[in-house]
Amino acid sequence: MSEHPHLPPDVTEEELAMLDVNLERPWHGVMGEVWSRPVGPVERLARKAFGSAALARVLVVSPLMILAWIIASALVFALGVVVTQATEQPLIPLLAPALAAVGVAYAYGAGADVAFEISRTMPVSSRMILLVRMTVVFAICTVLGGVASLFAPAIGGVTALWLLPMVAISMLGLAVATLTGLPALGGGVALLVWSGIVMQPVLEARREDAAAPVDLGTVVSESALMDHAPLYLAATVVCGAIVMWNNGAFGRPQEDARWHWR
Amino acid sequence: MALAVKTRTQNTNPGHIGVDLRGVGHRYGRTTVLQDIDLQTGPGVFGLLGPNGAGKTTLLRILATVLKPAHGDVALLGRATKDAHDLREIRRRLGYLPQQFGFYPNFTVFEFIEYFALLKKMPPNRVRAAVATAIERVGLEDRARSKMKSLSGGMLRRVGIAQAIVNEPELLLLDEPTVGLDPEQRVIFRTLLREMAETSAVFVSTHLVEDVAAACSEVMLMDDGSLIFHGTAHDLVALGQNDDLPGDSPIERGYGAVLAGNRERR
Repeated sequence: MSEHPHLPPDVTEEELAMLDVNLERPWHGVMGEVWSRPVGPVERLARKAFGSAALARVLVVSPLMILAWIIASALVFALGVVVTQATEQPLIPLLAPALAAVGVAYAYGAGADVAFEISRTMPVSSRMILLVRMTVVFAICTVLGGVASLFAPAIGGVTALWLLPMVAISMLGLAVATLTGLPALGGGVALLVWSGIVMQPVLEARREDAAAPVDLGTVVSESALMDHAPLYLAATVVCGAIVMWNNGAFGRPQEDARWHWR
Repeated sequence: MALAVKTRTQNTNPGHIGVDLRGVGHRYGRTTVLQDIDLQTGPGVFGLLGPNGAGKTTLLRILATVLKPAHGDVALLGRATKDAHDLREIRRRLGYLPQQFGFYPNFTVFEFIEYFALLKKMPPNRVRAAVATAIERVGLEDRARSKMKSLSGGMLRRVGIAQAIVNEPELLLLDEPTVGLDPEQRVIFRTLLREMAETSAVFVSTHLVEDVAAACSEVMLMDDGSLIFHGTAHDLVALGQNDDLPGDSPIERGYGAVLAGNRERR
């Protein structure tokens, strides 16, 4: 128990010793050190990289804010590994864009919904915060997908080209989410579109030959991804522009579509 | 009973503490929620009273730069809100507590306030001391390391107040700040407001007339999207001297009298 008159009783001498706190400093400086968590190496690096302590903090706390999605994605990928080993369909590259799109919509929703009004009064632009969160989603999805791929070697050696549809589909979902103010709708539309893209060659093959084996991996084969790369890139750029325009870029007055729903 | 207001041209005047709204109006769809608001203030504590649906929250949102009005000019702290750079400068000096706000359940009280202190672009080396100060000012020292999800409604409200004041804002906007606070906490809160009156413009929207009477230098009454009264609490009390009017205190009666008078005129 602390004997110092200025400190609350739950602060122990050990804690103070560990922090190497100078008690001659003003009280609030001391308590600030005691109550806060030390800034970790990742955050310190991000501060230098972004030039912004705020964005560094957003980066570091984003995984905590989207924890539900991270856990769900890990489970889905695990299931994907099991199914891939059983059926030999390359599920991991198929799942990654879908999960990323859901993650981006969820991050937009979790970030936007919870402390929405307060966040809108901050000098740090919500666009930058969204960008940082999206990067976190992509990074986590890539890591989880990469780990899953180790256990379920894909047929035909699909490379990291599935990052392309991942970004494109996520941007599509985000564009829908920002235009409608409904993150769930954004995620849903993205899933629908991606399912359509995946199923289209399968249905075509079935039409030609009713006995053709179902090969879900057509769309994520290396050749297909290379062929469609310009399409994915164009979709990314267009949807990205829509998102930025809706968030106040290009001179558009910054007013979220959601306000009209109240 | 409106105070005589000095007319100023709409020049930017950075460093000026106060707001300048001219002809501000807003709609949601086809419903007009604010009509023709003209408001010029300097520093002080301004109480915003009015029935539900009067437009108080909408006005606070406009002052907080959350909402861009459908028409009219808004200048805050001497800067126009139309310029992106000025908007950022305003927001660094602004504090806002909405009527309802979400919180991140696994953040501690300290982390939550620190998060917004950083987003307000406070100098990083001053953030921790500022957050500790804000926590002390709202009386939550013994909960600084508790997770947000373990707090009661009144404590959450106080965390909300703390994040609004952490950057010592020149423009402070509080929407129903005393909901869930016990009378002792309300007294502490009013002291806080009075401390800020010299150096900030504070707008407090509340249903609690006695909060307004105790802490506010000026009172504004809104009804149906318009500003129908702008004066001191004293002026409002003076209108409520007739005991036949509805209300349990002179200020409540004054409030009722102004509302009734406005509705008769329509």
